[in-house]
Amino acid sequence: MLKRIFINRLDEKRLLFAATLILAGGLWLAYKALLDRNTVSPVLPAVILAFSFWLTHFILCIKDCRGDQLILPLVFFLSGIGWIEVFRLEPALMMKQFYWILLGLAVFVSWILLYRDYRWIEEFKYFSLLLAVILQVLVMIFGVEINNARLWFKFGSVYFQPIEVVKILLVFFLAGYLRQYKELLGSVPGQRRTFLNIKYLAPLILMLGASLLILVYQKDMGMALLLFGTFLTLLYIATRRLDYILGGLSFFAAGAFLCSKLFYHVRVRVDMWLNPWQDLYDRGYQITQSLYAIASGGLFGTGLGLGSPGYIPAVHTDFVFASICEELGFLGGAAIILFYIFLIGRAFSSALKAKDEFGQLLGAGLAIILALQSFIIIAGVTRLIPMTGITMPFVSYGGSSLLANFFMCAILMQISDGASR
Amino acid sequence: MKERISKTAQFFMFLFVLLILYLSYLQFVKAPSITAHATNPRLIERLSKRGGIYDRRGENLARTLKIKGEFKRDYPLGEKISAVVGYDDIIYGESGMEKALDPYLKYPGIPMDPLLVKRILEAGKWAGYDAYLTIDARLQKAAFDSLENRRGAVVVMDPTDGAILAMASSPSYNPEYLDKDWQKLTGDASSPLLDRAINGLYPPGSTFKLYTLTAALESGKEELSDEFSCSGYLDIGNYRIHEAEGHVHGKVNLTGALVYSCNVAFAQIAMKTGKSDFLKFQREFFLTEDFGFDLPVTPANFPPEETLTETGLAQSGFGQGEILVTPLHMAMITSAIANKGTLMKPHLVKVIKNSLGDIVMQEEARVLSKPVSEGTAGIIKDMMVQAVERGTGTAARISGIKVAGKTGTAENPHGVTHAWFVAFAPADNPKIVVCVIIENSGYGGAVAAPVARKILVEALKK
Repeated sequence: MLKRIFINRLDEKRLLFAATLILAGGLWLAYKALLDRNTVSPVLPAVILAFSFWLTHFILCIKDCRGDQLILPLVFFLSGIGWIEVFRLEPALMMKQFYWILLGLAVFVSWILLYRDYRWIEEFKYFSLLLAVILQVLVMIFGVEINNARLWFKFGSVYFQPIEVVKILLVFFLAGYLRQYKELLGSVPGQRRTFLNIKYLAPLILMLGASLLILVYQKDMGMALLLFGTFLTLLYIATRRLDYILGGLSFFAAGAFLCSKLFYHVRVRVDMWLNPWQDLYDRGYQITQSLYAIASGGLFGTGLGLGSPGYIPAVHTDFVFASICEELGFLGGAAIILFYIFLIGRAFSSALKAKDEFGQLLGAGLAIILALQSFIIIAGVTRLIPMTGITMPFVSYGGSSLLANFFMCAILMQISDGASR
Repeated sequence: MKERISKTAQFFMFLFVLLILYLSYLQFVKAPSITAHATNPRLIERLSKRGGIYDRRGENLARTLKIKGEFKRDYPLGEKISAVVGYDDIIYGESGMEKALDPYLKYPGIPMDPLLVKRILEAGKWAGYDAYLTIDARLQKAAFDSLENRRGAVVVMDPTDGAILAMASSPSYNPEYLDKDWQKLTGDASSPLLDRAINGLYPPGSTFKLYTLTAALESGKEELSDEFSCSGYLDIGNYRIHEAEGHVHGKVNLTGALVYSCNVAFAQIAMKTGKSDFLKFQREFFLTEDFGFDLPVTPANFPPEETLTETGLAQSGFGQGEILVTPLHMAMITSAIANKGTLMKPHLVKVIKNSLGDIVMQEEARVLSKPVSEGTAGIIKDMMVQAVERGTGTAARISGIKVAGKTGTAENPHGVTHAWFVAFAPADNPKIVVCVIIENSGYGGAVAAPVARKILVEALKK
């Protein structure tokens, strides 16, 4: 057993080691810079966090897991950076985020230990769909409203966003359904290629239409964009039909245009994207503050803890990337994007290596969610696309998002583990 | 299908590369025009003046002047008030209220209200918040001057609301010459950078009898009619307690014990009160507890109950032994007795205003605790009045005003005794509490009482 700890997963070991050093340095800088302001020391939780990731690594070694060796170090790095940012921006939330990361890691480990295989998920595709719908309906009825949007369940002092689970459940369903019906949905021999197989497409469109409607009703534009994008991309992967994508995109564009005419909150987002300076002190405030922060970063940034990202409202959730750009500069911001490229690259490569089609679709679906979500938020914060409230995977403050992302990575580990056996 | 998965992967890689390119465009090409925008708070932060610190009447204590295009921090009262105001220095950072109020003084405070930013920009008033302290500059000057460069401290407070009216520490330093004097200041054995009023720990000597008396009367272990006989010394085990100056007080009642400051009597009072009732009041008076003062206060030192011997308890009864307090702590005990037994929370900030004059924060008078009952407070007050009229504190008498006071002459390992005096006036309607300590200078009644008197006269002058 001891031997396994030393000889298994050598790449993971080296990368974890590098990440530990870098994060320790980062925390030290932030701690030094904020010595006056923070009364609670981050040292003990930091040590526990690092130890937990190492422990996870050792468990994977002992259990002879052959899953991808880059995923765990990348997750450690991103969630570590996120935790340091929470400590730097909202010290009061540091411990909460700490517990969420530990919980996420626990979900990650126990899922891998509990299930060696992921293929059974396919059997539960309709159950996943049902569960997703139930969760969405429940949050509409019993959810609590924050900032005018009813997206959260509240348990005591803990908030939970069910959509984070719903997005994964929908990927389960889509992967299973598309695996089964992809021939029927795609080009069927003997029929014309333009034929739209309504019978098999209908459940898909209905399902998605319903969840999107709920999202529009719940004013969660970012998630709507994410789910729709994932759906279309998976559909293309399964059926080879680019016309679905094009049709879907035009449908989405028309829908977005209509929404911007019909719904005030959508129009605001678009207006503030086109010209945030027209309403500087009200609706354009957050995005202009974000741009000031990013632009003042330069190449190297001001240094951790030495900038003024606190001017951006809600900086620790949606705008954490702007804070990174200000204090760590272009190098820091680009590094974070590169880490996402690595993580998403490993997710896609796990999907590619999977021996079964369900695994390929499932892996691709999870990879797409990670990719779209990080793209939507980073592009939103930098005003490349309209800003939609959505979390930055592993980095933003927020428990449900963290748990969901750890869970997704656990499944990706299973897929890559299965592929190399 | 794998082919399409890898196409999708490539598509996303392309998107992210695009994102990096766009980010570099934003941070290098577009950055100058974005950061130069007139509403960028970072720009405003750099261009705007640090807020001022004022006394309760608006007299300037610290301000930022623009000399030849450069900001310079100016301290009109110089060394007289550096114990309160502290410094704001590019090299040495901040201390005192400059540090405590830094988030307010620095423009514009985080998080800020967008509409307020708009109003400030429109009015062209780019400056930090202004802080108005409870300090009375006139009294502060009098307090500092009365120390006459001797090592010591003065605390003046209003017992009815806890407002600190003056807080002086000597020797002091002038924050304007910090750079020039730093080597000298840090090397000086008399520690001019130490704020003695809140960070200097001293044996309280006989001023602490106010505490002992409170504990004894409140716990019901002593009564006003109790009598003691003093032969000038008292043997406890192998240890002999002496009366100061070889006095023999003979037969004294409780009042006489305080008025003539009889150590033998107070040693017995402390022992009769017992350890736990005696030590309990350190928390009631917030001597060892943090009470959220604007500046960091060094907690008083009390022996733990487990290790406190009978001799130690007897010594503690007259403020010797292991007990160490700061001048602010003695002012708090006196203030509670003056204010009918209710201790008001000492505070230094009166109100904070933004550059437009809007009130941002206002400190209300708050009750910290009620360590003494009204009856006991009245009894102790009467004794203190007699101590000034016919006892050890006659040097503090003011004609036409009833003064209540208590002397202290604290033995210490550094040589000559520390002179203490705590007082309040007018005794029947107290407006001012004064606490004076002058290190290694002799007797409290002879050295500290006249200083306290001078400050009381100044404070009660119409």
